[in-house]
Amino acid sequence: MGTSIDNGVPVPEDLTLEILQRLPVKSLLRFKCISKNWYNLINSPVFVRKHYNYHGSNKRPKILFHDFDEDASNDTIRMTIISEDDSEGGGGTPLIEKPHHLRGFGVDMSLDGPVDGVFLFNGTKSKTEYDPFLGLWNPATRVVTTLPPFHFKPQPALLQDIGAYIL
Amino acid sequence: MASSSKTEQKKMLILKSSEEEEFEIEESIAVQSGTIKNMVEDDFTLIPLPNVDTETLIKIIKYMKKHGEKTKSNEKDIEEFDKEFVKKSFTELKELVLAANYLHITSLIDLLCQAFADRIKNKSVKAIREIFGIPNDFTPEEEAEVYEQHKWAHEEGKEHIDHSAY
Repeated sequence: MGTSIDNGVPVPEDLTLEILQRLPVKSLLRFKCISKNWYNLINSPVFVRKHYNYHGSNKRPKILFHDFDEDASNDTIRMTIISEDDSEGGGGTPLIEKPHHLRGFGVDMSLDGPVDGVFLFNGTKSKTEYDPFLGLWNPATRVVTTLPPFHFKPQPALLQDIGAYIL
Repeated sequence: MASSSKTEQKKMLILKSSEEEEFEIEESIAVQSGTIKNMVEDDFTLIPLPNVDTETLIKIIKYMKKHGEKTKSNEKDIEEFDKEFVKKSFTELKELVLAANYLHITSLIDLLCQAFADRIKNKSVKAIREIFGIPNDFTPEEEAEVYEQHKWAHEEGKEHIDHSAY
């Protein structure tokens, strides 16, 4: 039943990768569930680089706006990523508004980057005491990683009220 | 003295499918295929293609003929052709991409892979498994773990997920 195209001749891996590299990140993250082979393919550093390069060359620029407000509560992260629209007149479609997955990572959200699509941020775990940590944030996969504790004092970042970064 | 290329006869080749059917084609058009180009350089004029069946070869020749007559004025026309060309079943697309890969026709590989990507990007995990004939080798617990890792990707916009394997 169904329309399995694997009628005897499987799609060779290099062609599968050609197809996969053209997919948006969100689809790829879902497709990790397909099989162990696809899970490993999609996770492999070689593929990640291939995918990044492919979309880098075709890329429509995206801009991330960050309204950094020290007085804002932990719940309000005013951040929007806007991409050039395909529609007539452009205008930009907000891709992520108020990213919820960044909540709880500290009021102090100064961002650095992106490098290869990943931002470095400076967060604090506590509002009352200075308990800083560094973290990595990939807006495409929405993965946030806390880095191991460091023992140097980070240089004070240039505090801006609004930051705009080109992705 | 160099002879005028205008008086040169157009060199023809014969392409032979896996089912032994033969098709005549201009060499200048056929060399869009890297594989055929190599064979021509080795002086072949009859090109056996044991990996390509007749039906698929006919489609490929159609593609090469259309793209062989590319000029500045017919770009839109070719774009329309390409759009229609990929309106095929997944089975046909797969046969075509395997043949295009074997024949090293870069623009066609690109077109077909992009068509695949566009058609599968919103499909469900189950549908993809069916289309590609991939058995699920995750245990239910393992699959749940992978799902959790990127829950947002599954949950957001899930009303738009396409479950059909067509």
